[in-house]
Amino acid sequence: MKKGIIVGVIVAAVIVSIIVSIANNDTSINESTDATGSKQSPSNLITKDTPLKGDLSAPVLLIEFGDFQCPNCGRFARETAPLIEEAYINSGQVSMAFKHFTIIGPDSKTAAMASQCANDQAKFWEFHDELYQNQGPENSGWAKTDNLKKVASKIGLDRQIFDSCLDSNKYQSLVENDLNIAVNQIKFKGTPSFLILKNDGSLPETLTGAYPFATFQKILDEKLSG
Amino acid sequence: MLGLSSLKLVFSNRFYIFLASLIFISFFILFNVLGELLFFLPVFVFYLPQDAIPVFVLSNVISVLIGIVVSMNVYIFRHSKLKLSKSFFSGSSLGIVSGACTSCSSIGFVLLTSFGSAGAALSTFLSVYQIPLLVSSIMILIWSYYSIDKKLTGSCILDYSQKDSV
Repeated sequence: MKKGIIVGVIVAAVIVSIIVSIANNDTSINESTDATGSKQSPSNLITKDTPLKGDLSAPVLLIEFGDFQCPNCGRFARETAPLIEEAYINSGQVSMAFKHFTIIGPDSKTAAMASQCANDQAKFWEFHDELYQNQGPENSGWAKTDNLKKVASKIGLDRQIFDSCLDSNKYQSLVENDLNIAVNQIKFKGTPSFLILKNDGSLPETLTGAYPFATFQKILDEKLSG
Repeated sequence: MLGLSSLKLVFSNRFYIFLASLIFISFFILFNVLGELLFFLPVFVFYLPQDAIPVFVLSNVISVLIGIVVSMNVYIFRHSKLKLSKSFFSGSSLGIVSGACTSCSSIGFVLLTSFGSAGAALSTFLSVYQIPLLVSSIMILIWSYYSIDKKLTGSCILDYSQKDSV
């Protein structure tokens, strides 16, 4: 009887430790460097076309690498991002940028390009929120061109400009470049992924997963006080 | 109707209650880590957003069923020469596979990068049909429980129809 309990405890401990190690591996926090080993800096990552919330001169920069078809990115956008905005972005302590990590399917790329077209008309975040609030199942067609154009109309974008931008694949290279940064330079392995760093490029950390506000609170507070 | 006599038989021994609890806790942790509801680093935190409630409920049902079914299988293994229920393996593995948002996690990333379009199709299938897969897993585990129950109690049942026909 006692022998059985001991064996059971050992088996459970092994299972739990494997789970924890898998989880920690998936959601590790590392120094973020590019393929050459040099540190990422905000000036390399944030261009004039990068959607940004808050002031880039804020002490800390949070960059999300997301996919509009990813359910966990949707969860972050609906549950956690509004709390970060309220606590840190509105007070000028943090700025938040969005980059495209389009891994789920071809419609992810179309949605990413469409969001950049909305950014041309200064409505990226409205478009972003509209897509995440009405997110459909992956690769089910909800993020195809026709539906994205309907979303553009709904949020009051100039359809002629938007359609021309989307139909001409204006932002294809930007979306592909963002994907290249995420996969080959930072080596993210899932969505949503985050790069959090001070605005001088110091203390970079990466995070992968739909973490709750408490996690971001800890990291952002450390960055702000460090 | 599922019989409860086998439950009473197995769980009258406290070791099996302990074993079932241990297995339940292990799978609870596994499902919630895979579902990105439970995080260990950088801070230990559990949260339950509204969109995750259906999967959370179904995966907990699976954890409970796996705890019961594994304990009953261990009981059978220790007390007889009967074989383990195959439906337990299919039910629990289906539950684990469908317990996470496959396409978002590193599991999906591995599928996509290693198997190309086939990996993408599998990843999408696992994500889109997550709830039906979890429900199927529950059905298989219930079937597994039913077959174990029959194994444990079947020997005490006399089949009069067969007796009459002899």
